[in-house]
Amino acid sequence: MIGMRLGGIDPSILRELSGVYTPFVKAFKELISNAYDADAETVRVDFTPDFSSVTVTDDGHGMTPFEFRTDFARIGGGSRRWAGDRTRKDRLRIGSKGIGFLALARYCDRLRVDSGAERSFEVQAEIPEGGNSFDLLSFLGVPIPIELLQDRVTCQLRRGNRKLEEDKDYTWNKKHTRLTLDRVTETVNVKVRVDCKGLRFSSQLDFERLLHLADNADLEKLDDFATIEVTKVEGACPTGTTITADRLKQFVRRELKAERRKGFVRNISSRSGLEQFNWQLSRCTPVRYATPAENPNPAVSKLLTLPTQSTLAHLEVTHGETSTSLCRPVYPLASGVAVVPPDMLVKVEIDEGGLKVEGFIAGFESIIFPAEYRGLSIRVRGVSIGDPGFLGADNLLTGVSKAALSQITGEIVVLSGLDAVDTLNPGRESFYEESEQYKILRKHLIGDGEKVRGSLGLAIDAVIRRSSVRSGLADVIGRAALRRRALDDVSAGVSYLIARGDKTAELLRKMVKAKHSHVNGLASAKPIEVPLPPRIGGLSVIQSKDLSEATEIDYVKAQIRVDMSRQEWLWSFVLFDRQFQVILKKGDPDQPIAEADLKESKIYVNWGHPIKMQMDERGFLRTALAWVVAREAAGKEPDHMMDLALRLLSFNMQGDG
Amino acid sequence: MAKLITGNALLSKHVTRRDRVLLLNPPVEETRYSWLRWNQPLDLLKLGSHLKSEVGCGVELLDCMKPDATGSVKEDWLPRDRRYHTVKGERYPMRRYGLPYADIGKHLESVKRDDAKRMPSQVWVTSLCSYWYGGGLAQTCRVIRETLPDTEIMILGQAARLLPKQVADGCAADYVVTKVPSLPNEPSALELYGTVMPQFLGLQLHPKLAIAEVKAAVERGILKFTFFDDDICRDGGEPLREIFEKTKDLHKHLRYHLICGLHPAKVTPAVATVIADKKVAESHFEEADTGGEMDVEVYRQVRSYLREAGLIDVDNRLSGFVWIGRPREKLEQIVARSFHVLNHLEGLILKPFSPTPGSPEHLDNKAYLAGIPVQNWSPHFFPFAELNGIAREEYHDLYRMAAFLNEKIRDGSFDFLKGTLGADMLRESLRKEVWKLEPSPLRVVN
Repeated sequence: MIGMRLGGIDPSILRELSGVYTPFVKAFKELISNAYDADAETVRVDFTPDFSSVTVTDDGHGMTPFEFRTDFARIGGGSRRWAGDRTRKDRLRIGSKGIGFLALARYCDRLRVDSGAERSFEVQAEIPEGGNSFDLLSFLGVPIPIELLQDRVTCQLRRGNRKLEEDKDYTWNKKHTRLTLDRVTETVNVKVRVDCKGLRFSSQLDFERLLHLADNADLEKLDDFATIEVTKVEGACPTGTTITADRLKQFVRRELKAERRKGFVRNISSRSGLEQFNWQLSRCTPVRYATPAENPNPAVSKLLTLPTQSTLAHLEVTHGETSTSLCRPVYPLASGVAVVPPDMLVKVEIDEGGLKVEGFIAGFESIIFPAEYRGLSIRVRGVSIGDPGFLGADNLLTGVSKAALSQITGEIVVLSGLDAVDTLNPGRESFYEESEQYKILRKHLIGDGEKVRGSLGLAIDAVIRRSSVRSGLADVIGRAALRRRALDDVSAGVSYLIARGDKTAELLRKMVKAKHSHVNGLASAKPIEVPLPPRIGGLSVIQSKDLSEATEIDYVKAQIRVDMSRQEWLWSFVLFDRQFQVILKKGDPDQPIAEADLKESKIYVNWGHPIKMQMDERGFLRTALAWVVAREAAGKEPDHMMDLALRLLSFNMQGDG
Repeated sequence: MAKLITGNALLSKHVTRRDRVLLLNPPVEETRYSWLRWNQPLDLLKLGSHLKSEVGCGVELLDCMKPDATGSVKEDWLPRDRRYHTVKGERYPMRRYGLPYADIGKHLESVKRDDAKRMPSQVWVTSLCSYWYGGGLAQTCRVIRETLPDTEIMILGQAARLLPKQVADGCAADYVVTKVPSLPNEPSALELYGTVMPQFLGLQLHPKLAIAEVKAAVERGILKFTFFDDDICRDGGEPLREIFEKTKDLHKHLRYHLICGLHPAKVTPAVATVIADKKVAESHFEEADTGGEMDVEVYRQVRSYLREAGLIDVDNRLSGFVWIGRPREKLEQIVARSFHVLNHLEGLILKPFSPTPGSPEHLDNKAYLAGIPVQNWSPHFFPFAELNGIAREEYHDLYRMAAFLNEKIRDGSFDFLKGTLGADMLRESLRKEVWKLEPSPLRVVN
C-alpha cells in the first residue's frame, strides 16, 4: 500500500460534518446511498458477530481508483456535479453534498474501500501560459505503478483550436510520465484518458489518525492517513464496491448489541439495537415498500406507487445467523392493522412550482403503536428526510387536536423538487425553511396560518369526529344499558325474593297474579320517550331494528343506525313469570312516582317526579319500580311495603355480569 | 305457577319432533363447591341422546358449569347485598359458580337474533342439588323468561324431583318434572358439547353402555372418567371390573376417578384389583357405618384386599370420607372416625351432610327441619348444628383438623430438607396459611 494524499479534507470540518450524522445509522445510510447512486440492485450489509466491523457489498458499477481519489474521498465532491442528476439507470441521484462515506469518520477507526470499474477515466487539465511541462502522475494523484499506467494513458493537447502533435509540439520523457512543450506562449488544454479495464484498487482511510490531528494540520504533509494499492486483475474484473468500516467505536457496538427491553414491548426504541438499526435503515434508504400477503389497506397501496428504478431490489442485513431483508415499513400496510376507513384516508397530491408530490395521510381510531410510525414521513429521492413528524403542526395544536396526532401517520413521496442542494441540510435530516418548494409542501400539508389546515387538518378533523362519535354513542348506549339494568335488577330481585319462599315471596306471588288496576292519573298523563339525540358527533341518528350489530356507523353517509330491538332499548321486563310494560309519563310533581295497571300489565313511571332530580336515570327507575312493586304487593301493610321496597332497592345483579 | 308433570309425560306429551330443545345446566350459588370440576349434567346428556334418537327434535346444550380450556370454572363473589349468607349468626361468603347470568342472556339473545332456526321452543333446566333452586335455578329461569318470552321452561333434576312444590312456587317455569325419566340405555350425547369437549365423562354402571361410551369419549380426546352411581361395587364389583378391564388399555393416559359410590363394605378382591391399578387416579371410600359405629374392620379388610392386589405402599390416591353434620352426631365420634380412616387410608375428606327431602333423616327430623328454610339445608351450613349442639365454628375446626392431619400424613413437599428445622417451619407456616383460606379449607384436602 502506498500513501496517498487526499485533497479537500480538513479534519475539523470532517469532524463537524460527521457529527451531523447521528445516530450511527444516519451516517451508515450514506454507504447505501452511494451504492444506489452506483446503480446497484443488491446491497448486502454484514456485521461481524461482535459488531466490531461492518461490510457493505454492492453490485453497482464500481469506481476507478482515479474517481475514488478525485470525486469520493473528498468533501464537497457530490457526484451530481460531475456525473449529472441521473444515473445510467435513470435513477435520480441521492448524493449531493459530497460527504458520502466520510460521514462514518466519527463511528469507526478505519474505512477500507475495494472497487474497480471496467471503464476509462477521463480528465482535463490546463497548462497555463508560461508553463512548459505537465507531470501526469502528480496530476492523477494516485500512486499507481508506472508499468500499470503504460499503454493505458492517452493525452490530447490543444492550443486554442489546434491539436498539438507529439514530438513536434511536445515530447514525453522516457517513462512517459512527463511531457514538455516546445514553446510557452499560450495556454494548452490537456485531455487525459486512462483505460481502467482490469484495474482494481484497495484503499484504506485512517479516520482515527485524521481526527486526532490538530485543526490546523497541514494535510499536504500527511502521507500515511490514506493508502491505496492499485492492482491488475487477470480475466474478467469483478464489478461493484465493498466498503468495510473497521473497528467500530465502542459506543456504536454498545448500541447495536443492546438487548430488547424485557416484558411487553410496543415501540421500536424498546427493541434490540440491531432491530432499531434495521428499522431506521429501512426508512432512510431507498428500499421498496413492504407488500403484505394479506394487505389490510389496498387503497393505501394504490397511493404509494413509486417510479420504477427508484428503489434497490434487495437490501439485506446479516448478523451471525440472522439475516433480514429490509423493506420500508408503512403502518397501514403492516399486518394486523385496522382498515383505514375512506373518511380517514386523505390523498395528498401536489403539483405546483416544480414540486410534484403524491402520498397519503391516514387517521386511525386508536393510538398508533409502535410510536415511531406516528407522523408524516417525507420521502425525497426514495429516502426519508429525518424522522416522521408534523412539519411543526404539533407546536400549533393543543388539546384533542394535538392528541389526535398520535393517531395519524402518512407517507409523502416527492416525485420531483425539494432535492436541490440548498433545500436539504447535510445528512438529509431536514429541509431548509427558506426553500420555496418546502413552503409549498408545508402549505398543502398543514396550511400556512396559525391554524392547522391542509391535508393534515382534514385527517385531524376525521380523527376527532370519529372520537366524538364513539364517545357520544358510548354515552347514549351506556345510559340505555343502565336503564335496562334498573329493570333487570328489580326483575331479578323479585325472582330472588319469591324463590326464598318467605312472607315477601307470598306477597309478590299474589301481586304478580293480580288483575286489578291502581291507576290514578298517571295513565292519562302525556307519554314521553327517552329520546335518542338527533345527531351524535355531527352524524344523524336513525332508529333501526334487527341490525347485526347494536349500532352501525356510516361516516360516508354521516349516519348512525341504532338497533332499537336490542334488549337495552326494550321497556318490558319480567316480574317472576309475567311480562310488564314500563311506560314513561310526563306527570306532575305531586303525582306518585309510579303506578301499576296489573290488569293491563303496565307500569307507569312519572318522569316528572321531583326525586328524579336527585338521582341518575338508573337510580330513579329502580326506585320507582321497587316502590310500585312493593306498594302493589304489600297493599295496606306499610311495614311489609317498606321492607319489600328496601330489599328490592338493595338487590342488584352487578357482579353477576 | 308451574305445572308438575312426570318424566314420561314430558317425553311422550310435551315434546315433538318439531320442537327445538335447549338443555341447560345452570350456574350455582353456594358458599363453597369443592367438587366443582366434577359437575356434569349427566341427565341432560342422556336426555339429549333420547331426544335426538327417539323424538327426532333439535337439541342443543348450554352447560354453564363446563370448565374452560384451563380446566377452571368461572366463579365470582355474589353482589354485595348477597355476598354473605348468615345462618344463626355465622356469616358464609357466597359465590356464583359457572357462567354469569348476563352471559346466559347474551347467549340466548344471540341465538334469537342470529339464527331463528336455532331458536329453542323449550328450555330444559336441570339441578344437581335440591337446595340450589333458590339461587342459580330461579335466576336462570328469569333470564330465559326475559329473553325468550315465548319459550317453555321445564325444570328437571334433583330439585324438581325432591322439592317439586317449592320449585314450582319459586321458579318462573312452565313445568316441573317430578320424576326423572329413566334412560339407562341411552349414551351421553357428548356431541352436544360441539368442538370443545369436557375434560371428563361421568358414567353409570351399565357395562355394555359404559364401555361403548368410554370408547367414543376416548376418540373425542376425553381421558378422565368417573362413575355417578350410588354403589359402584354392586354385583361383587363385576360390572366395575368388566368396564375397567375392557377400557383401560384404550389410551395410556386414560384414568378413572372413583369419587363416589365406593362403599368399603362392598369392596371385593375384584374391586381391589381395579383400585390398585395405576389407571385409577383416585379412590374415595364412603364411610363404613354400622348403625352409629364405624365399621373399622371393613377398612382393615379393604387394606388387606388392596395389599393382595399389589397395592402395598401407601400413596395419595386413596382417601376416605367421614360424614359431618349428620343428626345426633358427636364431635368426639367424628374425630375418632377421622383417625380410624387415616389409620387405614392415606387421606381424610370430611363430607358435610344434607338431609335429602323424603329420606329417613328428613322424616325423622321433620319437625326440626320445618323451621329451617330449604336454602339453609345446604350441607355447608350444617342444618343439624343446633340439634347436635355443635357450633358451626366447631365444624369449621374439624375442617382445619382434617387439613392438618392430611398435611401431616400426605405432604412430602419439603422432604428434601430431611426433617430439618427449616422443613418444620415451612410446613408450620403453610399450615397456618391453609387455615386462613376461605371459603373452603376442604380444597386443600383435595
